[in-house]
Amino acid sequence: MELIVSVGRREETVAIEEDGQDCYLVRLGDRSYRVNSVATGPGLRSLLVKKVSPGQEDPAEKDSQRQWEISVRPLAEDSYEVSAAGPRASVRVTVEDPLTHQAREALGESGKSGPHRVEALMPGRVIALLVEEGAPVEEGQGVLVLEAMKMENEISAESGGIVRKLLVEEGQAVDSGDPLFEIE
Amino acid sequence: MTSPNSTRKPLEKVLVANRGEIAVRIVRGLRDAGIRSAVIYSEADRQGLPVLLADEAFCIGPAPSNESYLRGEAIVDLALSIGADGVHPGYGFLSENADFARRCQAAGIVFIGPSPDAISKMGSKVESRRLMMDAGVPVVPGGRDPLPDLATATEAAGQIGYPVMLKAASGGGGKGMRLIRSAEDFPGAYRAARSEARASFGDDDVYLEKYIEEPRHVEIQVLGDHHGNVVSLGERECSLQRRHQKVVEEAPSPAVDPDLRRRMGEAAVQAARAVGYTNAGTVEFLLAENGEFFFLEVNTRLQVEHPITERVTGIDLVAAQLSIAQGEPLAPECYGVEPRGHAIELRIYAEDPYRGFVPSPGRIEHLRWPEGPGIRVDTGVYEGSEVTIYYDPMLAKLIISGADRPQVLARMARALSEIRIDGIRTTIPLYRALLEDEDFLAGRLDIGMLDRKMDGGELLPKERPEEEDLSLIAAALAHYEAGERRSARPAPSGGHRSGWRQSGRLAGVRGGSWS
Repeated sequence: MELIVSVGRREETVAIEEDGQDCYLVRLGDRSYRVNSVATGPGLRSLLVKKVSPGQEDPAEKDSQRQWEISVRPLAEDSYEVSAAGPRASVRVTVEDPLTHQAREALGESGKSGPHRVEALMPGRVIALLVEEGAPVEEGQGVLVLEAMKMENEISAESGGIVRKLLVEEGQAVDSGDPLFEIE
Repeated sequence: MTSPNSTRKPLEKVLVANRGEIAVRIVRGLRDAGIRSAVIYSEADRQGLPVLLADEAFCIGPAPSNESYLRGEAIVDLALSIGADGVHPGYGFLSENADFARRCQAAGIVFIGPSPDAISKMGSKVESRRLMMDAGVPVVPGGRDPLPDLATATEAAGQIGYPVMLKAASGGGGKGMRLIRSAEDFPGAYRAARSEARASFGDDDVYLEKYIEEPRHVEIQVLGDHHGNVVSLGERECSLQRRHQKVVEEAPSPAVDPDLRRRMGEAAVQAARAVGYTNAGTVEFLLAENGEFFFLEVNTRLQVEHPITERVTGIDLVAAQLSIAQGEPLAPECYGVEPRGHAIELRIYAEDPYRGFVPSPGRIEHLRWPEGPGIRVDTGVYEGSEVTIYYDPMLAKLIISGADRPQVLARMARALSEIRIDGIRTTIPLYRALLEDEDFLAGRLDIGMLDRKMDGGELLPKERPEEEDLSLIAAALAHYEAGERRSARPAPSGGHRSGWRQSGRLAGVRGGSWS
C-alpha cells in the first residue's frame, strides 16, 4: 500500500508491505527498511529498524538494527504529531492515500489560497489584538498576544496575507486547539 | 539563646503550604520522620502528586496563586482547625514572607524556617548589605552614596578600583548604566550616564559599583539550630542561568578548592550568625575569576537545588529542618562536612528553549523517567498530568550523582537518553546540547554564559536526519494500522512468523547492536 506523507515542505511516498506479524517492508523515497513495530503504550510504539538498500549495503550500517521509540498522536483525520524524543521536540506529519492526496491537490490551488485557520497551541488568555480584520500582514508579523504561565507570547502570521477573521476578543480565555484567526 | 524552639517539642502533624515537586519532597521528609502530613491544594491541583501522597489534603481556593497558595491567613486558620502544629512553606509562595511566619508564631504553630525577624532583615537589600558589612562579610565594593560632582565620583572610582559600573539611582533596564575600565574614560562616561539618567528617569543621581567580570554564582548551604550552632555544608555552583533563572546547578563547584570552600563557608556562617539565623538557609555570593567573592543575598528557606548538597554530603536537608524545628541540636554529622563525589541538577521546565523559553502547558501524554545508578528524580507530575498555565513551569528536577564530575557527565548523558516526555515541550534538548559544549564540559561557567551562547546561536539541538525519516515511517504505519482496524479485516498474516523477525528478537536477546 502506498501513502503520501509530508512534514513541513517535504513530501514523500511511503510504500508499506506486510512481512509477518508486527513486521513491514517500508520504502521511503529511494530507501528501504525492514521495520518491526510494537506498541509500548497508548500512541507509543517501538520500532526496530534495519536499512535494506539491495545491492549497495553500506558496510557501516550492515547488521545494524536500531531501536526507536516514537510517539504518534492523531491530531486530525490525516495528521499526526510525531515525536522521536530526539532533539526536535515533535513534528506534524500528514498521511494521505494517493487518491485523497490527488483530490486535494486538484482542489489544491484554490485550497492553498483559501483562508487558513491558526489555532492556539496552548491554553491562555488573549491580552491584545495587534491587527484589525481585513488588515494585510507580512510573514512573521504579530497578530495577537497570548498570555500563558505569566508570559506573553506573540502569535504571528506564518505567511503573508490578509487577516480575514479574528475569532477571539481581547481578554478571552482560549484552550489549546481553539481557532484564533483566519488568514488568506 | 532564647527562642520558642529551644526546648524539644516533637511535631505531630505538619501542613505543607506549597505545591508541585517541593510539596512532594516535604511530604516524603515528613513520612520519613514519622510525622503526619497534610497539604493544601488549589482547584487546579486536585490531581497533583502531593494530594495523592500526603495523609491529608485540603482545598485552599481557586487556581490563581493569590486566591490559594498565597492566602497566608486562611492557611494559618486551616492549620489550626486541622490540629497541625507545624507549617512547612517550601520555597516560593509564602516561604520568605515574614508576616506569614509571624502569623504562624502568633497562632502557636511552628514555622519551619528562620525567625520572622531574620526573614525581614535578609529580605531588604539595603539592610542585609549593611548587616553584612558590619559582620565583616565581603560585599560588592561601592554603594548608593550620592556622587554630586565629577571630583567626588572620580575619587570614589579610584578607591573602588577599575573596572567600575556607574548606575542610575532610579534606573533599570540598562539605561544610565556605564561600564568604565580606566580613569581616563571616567569623566566622559560620568557626564553621559548623568544626562541619560536625567532624560530617562528625570533624576540624574548616579552611584558606583565595582564591576565583576563574568562572575560565577556560588552559594553556601547553612544550617542553624536553636542552641546557637551554625554550620556550612559547602557550596553549590549555580552559574548556568537564563535571564537570572537558574537552570543547572552542581556541587561541588569546579572553581572552588578546599581553602576557598573554608573561607566562603566561614563568611556564610558569619552572615547567618549576624541575624541569629536558624533552620536551613543559603548565602549567595558572586565569585570572581581571581577567587574574590562578594555577598549577594541570603535565601531564608530551602532552595530548589538542595538535593545536590544532599547527594554530596549525605545529609537529608528536610530531615535536618524538621529536627531543628523540633528543638533538636544539629546532628554530629553536620559538622566539618567535606563534599564526597559530585552531583548535577537539571531543572526540567515545560518551556521551549528554542523559542525564547515560551511556556508549553498541556497534557503529559507519555512520561518515562530515567533510572539506574546515580539518578534521582524529584517531581510533582506523572503521566497524564495536565501542566497548567497558573504556576511555575518547572516539572521536575533530575539529580545525577557519582564519584566525580566525569562520571556524573556520563550518567547525565545516559539519563537524557532514557528520559521521555511527550505532549509538551521541555528544556531537555538544551541539556543534551550542553553535553556537546566545551565550556560546560570543562566546568568553565559564569552567570552570563548561557544567555550569551543562546543569543549567539550556540547550543542548538543536533540535527539527526534519519530521525525525520523515522517520524514519517511511524506516522505512515500508524495511519496504515488504523485503516486496517477501520476496515475490520482479519489480522494480517496471522500465525506466520518471518525469519527476519525471529532473528531480530534473537539479536535483542543477545544484547546486540541496539545503540
